[in-house]
Amino acid sequence: MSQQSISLTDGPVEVVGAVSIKANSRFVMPWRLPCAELDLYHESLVDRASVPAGVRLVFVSDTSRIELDVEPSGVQAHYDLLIDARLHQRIDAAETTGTVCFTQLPAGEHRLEIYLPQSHPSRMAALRIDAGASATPWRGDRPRWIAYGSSITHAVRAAGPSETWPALVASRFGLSLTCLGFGENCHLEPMVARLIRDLPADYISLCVGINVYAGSLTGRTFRSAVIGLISIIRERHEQTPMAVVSPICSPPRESKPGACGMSLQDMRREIAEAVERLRRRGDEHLHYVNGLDLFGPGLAHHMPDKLHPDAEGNRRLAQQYAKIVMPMLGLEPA
Amino acid sequence: MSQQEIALIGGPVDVVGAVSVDANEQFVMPWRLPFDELDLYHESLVDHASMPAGVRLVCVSDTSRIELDVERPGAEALYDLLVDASLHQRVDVSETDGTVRFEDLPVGEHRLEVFLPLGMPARISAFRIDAGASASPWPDDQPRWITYGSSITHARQAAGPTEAWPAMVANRFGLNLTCLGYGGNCHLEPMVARMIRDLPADYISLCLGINVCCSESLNERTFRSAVIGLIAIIRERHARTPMAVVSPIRSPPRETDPGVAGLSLQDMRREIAEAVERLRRHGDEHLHYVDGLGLFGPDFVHHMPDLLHPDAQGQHALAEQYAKTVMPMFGLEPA
Repeated sequence: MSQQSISLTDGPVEVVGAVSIKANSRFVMPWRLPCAELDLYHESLVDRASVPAGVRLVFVSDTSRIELDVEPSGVQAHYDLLIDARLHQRIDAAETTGTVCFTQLPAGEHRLEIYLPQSHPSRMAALRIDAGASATPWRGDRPRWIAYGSSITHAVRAAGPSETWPALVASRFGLSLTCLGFGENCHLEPMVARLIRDLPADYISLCVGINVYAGSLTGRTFRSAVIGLISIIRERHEQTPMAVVSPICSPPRESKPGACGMSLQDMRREIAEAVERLRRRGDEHLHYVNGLDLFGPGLAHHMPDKLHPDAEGNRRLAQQYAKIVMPMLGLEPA
Repeated sequence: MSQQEIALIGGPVDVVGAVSVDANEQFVMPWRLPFDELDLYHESLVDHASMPAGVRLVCVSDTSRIELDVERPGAEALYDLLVDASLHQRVDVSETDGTVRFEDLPVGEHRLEVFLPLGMPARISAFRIDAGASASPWPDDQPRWITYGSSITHARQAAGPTEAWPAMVANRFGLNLTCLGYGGNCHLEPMVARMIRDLPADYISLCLGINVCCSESLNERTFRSAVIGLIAIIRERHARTPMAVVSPIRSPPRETDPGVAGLSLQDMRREIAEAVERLRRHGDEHLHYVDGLGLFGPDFVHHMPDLLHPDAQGQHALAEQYAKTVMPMFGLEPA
């Protein structure tokens, strides 16, 4: 069947969940940082932000097939196609020649969402659908949810990009996700606080602490950084429901202080105290969540390295998150 | 001679150089943080912010004498009186009964500035001048200068509060100083960045690094990001205010040892220079990098008995170098 090429920038396709999009004559690449000022962020954060966790291409079409030309990754890079919010097909770009083909789409017009890999940058050169197929923007007006955090929010170990816990929770609650989970790079930097502050958001989750364990902040600077992060975000999201989640279980780090001088138990106390102090000052839309309630020792078997939930662990974490955190934000399943 | 009491709030006396003033029935206390949200700052920073370095009481009067009732501290706490910007008298309140007395003021109306102690909180319960003496505000339209930094900007080693290097530089250039030097507590916190952003300022100096080095409170991963973040936040409301970012002055034991956090002073100077350079490349032409070694390098180490803090003489040397090196970057000439 012959095909038509659809613009990735000014056409019916929306790139959703990115902070910025680098578009040039060769490719379109979503970033989870502002791509015009990457030099103001640490190189290691920039590296993780080049990976489009939670980013997806969204449009409505009656095409029977989608082809996406991408720069070959060399390593596993899963693309998920969701049709009307259900997983239709998962393709590893590393097993292709550079074209991700989704086939056998059901007849009729449907909302199509292509989740980009949560493990590898995505530079896309072309998107093609059936010649003569319809292609229109999806006018979904879903509330926006920003989830900031570490590798646990980045969720590289999920079975696929639509099965990370943030994607699962967003899908279940009908939210438009912006995932700012940056593996090893959740250091509560003021530049990231400003970035979140300046993004549109209806709900915000911050899962902070685990990356700091290695000493990037200490007993002197950690609680101040939590308070600073929240205060900066609040400058433009004064009443946005916000959950601040302390580290989930990581058995080797629970009571043993890291180079930061704090154990995970210490960190949970510091985060709870930061939230409590801001609540005492009137911030009633701010909520503390103990990470152990989301993923405690009882789920440690879903955490082979005792740090990162595996594929099943992501599903379990999503369930717990849906049960505990989302109601605090005032949300019920869609 | 009989005396009259002058209100410290709502009267002719201005409390200048503080961030906030806690005024209650018992006393007036200047703070170098917003005193109504101290719980949002680290306890150790709060402790140092309770010391009114650079804060002064200013008025115009023809009194021959000033008395100040203060809570008597257990340790040395020097109060300086400047008359028309020249030091008239220095009093250590720990050697008094709790009343600071400045005497023999020259005849006629003069600008009077009582500089509060560098290293002890000042809780002032009364301010008295001669009965019948005049007392009016001194409208301070000098440009405002904020200096943020560590113990080196706090400068408790100075001979007295008017001989801390920030006070001397401000005096020489006719600037209204707000000193945000906090001994041991310059950790570039975003809350401090916001506070500086929200204060009025015509010139801003940031002297960064030494406390982070000594306490390893940030590391290779977070230090440069914190410098960029601090400046970027301040710039949100001071888009074009001339700003100098000063790297650590010399401290021989720390120059090359990277410690656990992976940052020697030499590393920090590079990181700070790089942060400034990147922001300048993004168009910030009012931002200037100053190498701390150019202000207080190996030649001055004899003025640094603990190899970290300039002593009383060192303050004068540092003020001299600062006046020569940094202030011209602001386009400032001695007043």
